[in-house]
Amino acid sequence: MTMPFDPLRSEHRLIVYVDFKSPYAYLAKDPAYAIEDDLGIEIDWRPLTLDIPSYLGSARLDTQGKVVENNRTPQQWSGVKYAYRDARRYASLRGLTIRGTTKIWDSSLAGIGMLWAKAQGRAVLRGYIDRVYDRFWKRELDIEDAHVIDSVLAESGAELKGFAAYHTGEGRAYNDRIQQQIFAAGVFGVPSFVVDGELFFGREHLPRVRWLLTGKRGAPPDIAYRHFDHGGAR
Amino acid sequence: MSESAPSLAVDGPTVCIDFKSPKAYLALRPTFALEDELGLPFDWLPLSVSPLSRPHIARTDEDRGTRHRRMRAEYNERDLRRYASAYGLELADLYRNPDVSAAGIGLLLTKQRRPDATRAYLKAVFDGHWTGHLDIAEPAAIRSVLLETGIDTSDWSAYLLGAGRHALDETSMRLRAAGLFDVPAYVVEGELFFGRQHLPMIRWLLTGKHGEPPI
Repeated sequence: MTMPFDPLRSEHRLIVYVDFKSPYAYLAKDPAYAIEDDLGIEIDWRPLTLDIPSYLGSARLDTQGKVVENNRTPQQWSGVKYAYRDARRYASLRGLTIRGTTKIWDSSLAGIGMLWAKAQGRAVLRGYIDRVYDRFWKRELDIEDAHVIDSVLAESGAELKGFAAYHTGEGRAYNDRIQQQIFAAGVFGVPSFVVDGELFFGREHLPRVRWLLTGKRGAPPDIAYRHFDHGGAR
Repeated sequence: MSESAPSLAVDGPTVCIDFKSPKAYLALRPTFALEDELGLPFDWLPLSVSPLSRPHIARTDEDRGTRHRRMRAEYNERDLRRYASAYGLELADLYRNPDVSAAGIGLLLTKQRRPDATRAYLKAVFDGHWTGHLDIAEPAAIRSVLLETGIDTSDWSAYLLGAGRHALDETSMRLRAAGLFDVPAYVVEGELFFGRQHLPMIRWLLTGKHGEPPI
């Protein structure tokens, strides 16, 4: 029997919240896969559709990167610019491409696609997540276009029959409902990790997440990794 | 590394701290540990930044942005406290906003007169503030720490109002102009990093980029 949706509980020990329009969630994807593979567990991947303008202002750039609309404060701009620089430097070291976006995308359809892929097994889900992240951040994917999401699902091995009705009907309603529940439970950003009901925001907590999942052996690791010696990180 | 930080002329690894910042306090031990491991002292600079925002009381009519900021502030407090407890620390009120200029000027004086005592000074001021035993806004309290650290304080009052104040203002202006708006901030090989979570990357950079880069 499937458990009713609970933002902080799952039948799996680790919940990971992601949004395809977040470069930081993109950077967390592979390290989260590594935990899943190393520990032989299954992650409960869940979509969280960020409402960025509500807390970080909004802006739109033209194709040359010039700001054509803007309601951000200088402080918000400083934070956003640093965040992109930071994400890009880590991405470049792993051979990932993160191009600046020209607008704040509505990623809810891609999130609904993720729910659809998830229902068809881990291989389909990973194939879908990998393709959407990789292509979206190269600016090769319009994640607001249902035909595009159809194609990525098909390429990832998903059965498409019923998806059109799902993403406009039951899937859309379900996603909208869980987004409200997720936010109400205090999960406000991505990537977020939930272990045993405890919330961690940001991939820097993965050493701590791994420590919790492996029986809390040794001293609890800091985000500066001083006590973390798994997987070569310190 | 493809993206460069705003320019900041520094001689070697540099870390900017604010004594009223719990994030800077939690960075102290791992940064000391990295200095020890590499045998490389960092240049510690004072930078006063905005204090943490205390989460407001939840209201039924708050809009989404207000609610988001409240939840983020509540999470930040929980996060700081859980990692502090791993170091055996119990943090006093996170939202105090004392004038940190005397403490910053004390740091500059320590570096000038007894660079080898920098760590002792940092530890005494941070520990004193975060256990609630030291009023870091009070110049006399900072003078006591300087004395205990072995610094000549015979001209402390004059330094505080004159050369020390000038040096602090000049340092702050230079750091802000270079885009530093948060602490702890690390400047290493021309790259700017906010937060102790970057220490694995900083270590990787300073040890010749051997092996897989940290995540």
